[in-house]
Amino acid sequence: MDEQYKTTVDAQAPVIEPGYTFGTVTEKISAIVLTRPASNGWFMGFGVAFMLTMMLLYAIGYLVLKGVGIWGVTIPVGWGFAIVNFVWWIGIGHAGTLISAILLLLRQSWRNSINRFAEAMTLFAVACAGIFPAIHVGRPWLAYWLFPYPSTMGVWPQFRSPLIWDVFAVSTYATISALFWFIGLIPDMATLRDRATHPIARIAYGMLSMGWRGSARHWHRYETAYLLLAGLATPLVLSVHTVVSFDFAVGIVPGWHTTIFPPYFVAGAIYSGFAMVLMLAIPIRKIYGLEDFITELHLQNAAKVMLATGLIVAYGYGIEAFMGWYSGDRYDAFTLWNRLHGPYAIPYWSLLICNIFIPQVLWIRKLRSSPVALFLVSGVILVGMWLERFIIVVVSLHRDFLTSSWGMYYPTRWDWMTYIGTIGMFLAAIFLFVRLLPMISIFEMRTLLPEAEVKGE
Amino acid sequence: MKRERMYGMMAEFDSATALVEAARRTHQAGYKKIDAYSPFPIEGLAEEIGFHHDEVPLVVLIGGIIGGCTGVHRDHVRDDDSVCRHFRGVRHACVERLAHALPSCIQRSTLCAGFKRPFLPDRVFFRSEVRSGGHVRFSAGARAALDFGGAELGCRASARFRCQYWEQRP
Repeated sequence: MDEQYKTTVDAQAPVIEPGYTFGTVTEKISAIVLTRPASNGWFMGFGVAFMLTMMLLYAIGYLVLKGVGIWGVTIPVGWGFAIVNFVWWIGIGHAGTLISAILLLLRQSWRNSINRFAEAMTLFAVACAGIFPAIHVGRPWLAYWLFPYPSTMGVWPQFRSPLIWDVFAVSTYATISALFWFIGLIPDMATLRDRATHPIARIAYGMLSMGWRGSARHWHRYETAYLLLAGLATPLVLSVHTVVSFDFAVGIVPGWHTTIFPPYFVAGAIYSGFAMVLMLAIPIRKIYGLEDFITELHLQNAAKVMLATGLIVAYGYGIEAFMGWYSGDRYDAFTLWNRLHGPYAIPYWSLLICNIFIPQVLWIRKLRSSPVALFLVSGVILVGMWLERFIIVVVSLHRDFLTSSWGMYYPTRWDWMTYIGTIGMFLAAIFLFVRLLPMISIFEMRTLLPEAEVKGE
Repeated sequence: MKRERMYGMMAEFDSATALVEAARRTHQAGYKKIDAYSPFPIEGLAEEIGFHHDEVPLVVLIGGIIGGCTGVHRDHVRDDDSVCRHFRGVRHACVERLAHALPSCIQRSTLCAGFKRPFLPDRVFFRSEVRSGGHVRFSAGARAALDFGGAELGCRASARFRCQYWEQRP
């Protein structure tokens, strides 16, 4: 099946441009880390991202000092930006796992050049996501109560609450993602160890490569381990966002209490994740001249995945609206009306435009293969997916069953600072990653070369 | 560290096909202590140098099951008695409910599964052997610290041949 796939796609765009050898592939990717000096643009970009990270720390510091009252959360909207951003970031992480695990099991060789930084993106996104529930609990210094540690006080988490399932889902996800990423890096670390000239770099990469020599025994065990991890990570692509959606779906709030949530959340997660992959891949391939490795094929395939998942998301919106009417439940019907005409109508309509209407331009092949167009559409999708979580969290909560308990939610500057701060932290991590680790898997790129094939006798 | 006899031989090949072929013929010629190095995974190469699965996964699985079972073992002691169990130097709180045994259960299964730690000597030290171009000498203290239950650690590293391929026996 792999062969078939290769030949059909080779007709339009190759997975890797011809003319490369093992040496040039290695040289090109490792040079970014080892020999190329950091440009002014890198320093400026990292500087801005770092300052935003500092802003995040400031916002969190002030939050710890003053309490969640500095945020816009209040009754009835007790889950504001923190949960919106948490779900958004966790969703973004999903593309990395999909690319690294599911596409590995399906033997899609085009994943080889984008899996490394997609996995890095997953890790950083999960790190950003993890901040929010921890600081949202009100007393962040007691956030460890979320874990079922052997407490002599007999304080245990409520195992019947989806919120505690979430703790397990996300921490499992973070662990597996980190392991997958690190194991994938080991052979490349060894390459860097052997090529590095600076003593500190040699020691650092040497320790991280854990004695890798590239022996056939190593590869044999390595591939087994990698496959097993992929098998473990595959259900996580579906389960993590399913559990996140349970946070809502298990509640009885109109607009939350639906069975469509798990598949619709998972599709939305992959949708936004691929949008983030493209938003990172397009500038990176341009800046570092990696168009030969991240080819038009990769962009096209990612665009197709976005198109497909976007349609699933659109179906989710459609079913939500349909059920609002079909259920005959007046509160569900009101939720729909409130979304379309209520005080948050502008975010809702923008959400429909960003997530459903604009991405349909990806049907046009010319736009699908244009990096600029893809970059813009990806940005629109990321905004749209953030708005979707805003609609789900805020609009459902602000007007529930009793008109007497209705209210409004307005984010404060601290909400925005925390949110933008995590984007800064994410970007700062990406900037560091690009300079410190091989952002494309070197050994997996080598396997794509024709010389890597073992020809039968 | 003067060596009289030949320590080993290495050969380099241009393509994956040649490498696999050479590995097959070396192995067929009867050489067992061989290894093959490649910058990317080559299908079937490990089999050609005679590498087979060992019993380690099974040992780890059995260890994990034993550890998991003993971790779940419940103790009806009230919290305020605070009687703790000790296992491999780790304190385990007593539990009243099954779910509460989860952390100690995970700890124990990990400890039991890792009890043998059989991969470590080969994994960690064989590389240093190659790098230093000979066998690794361990001081008595280091040997004691690194003793994973495999008594042959030092000898094994030095007895291995540092070679990629032997030439075909004439």
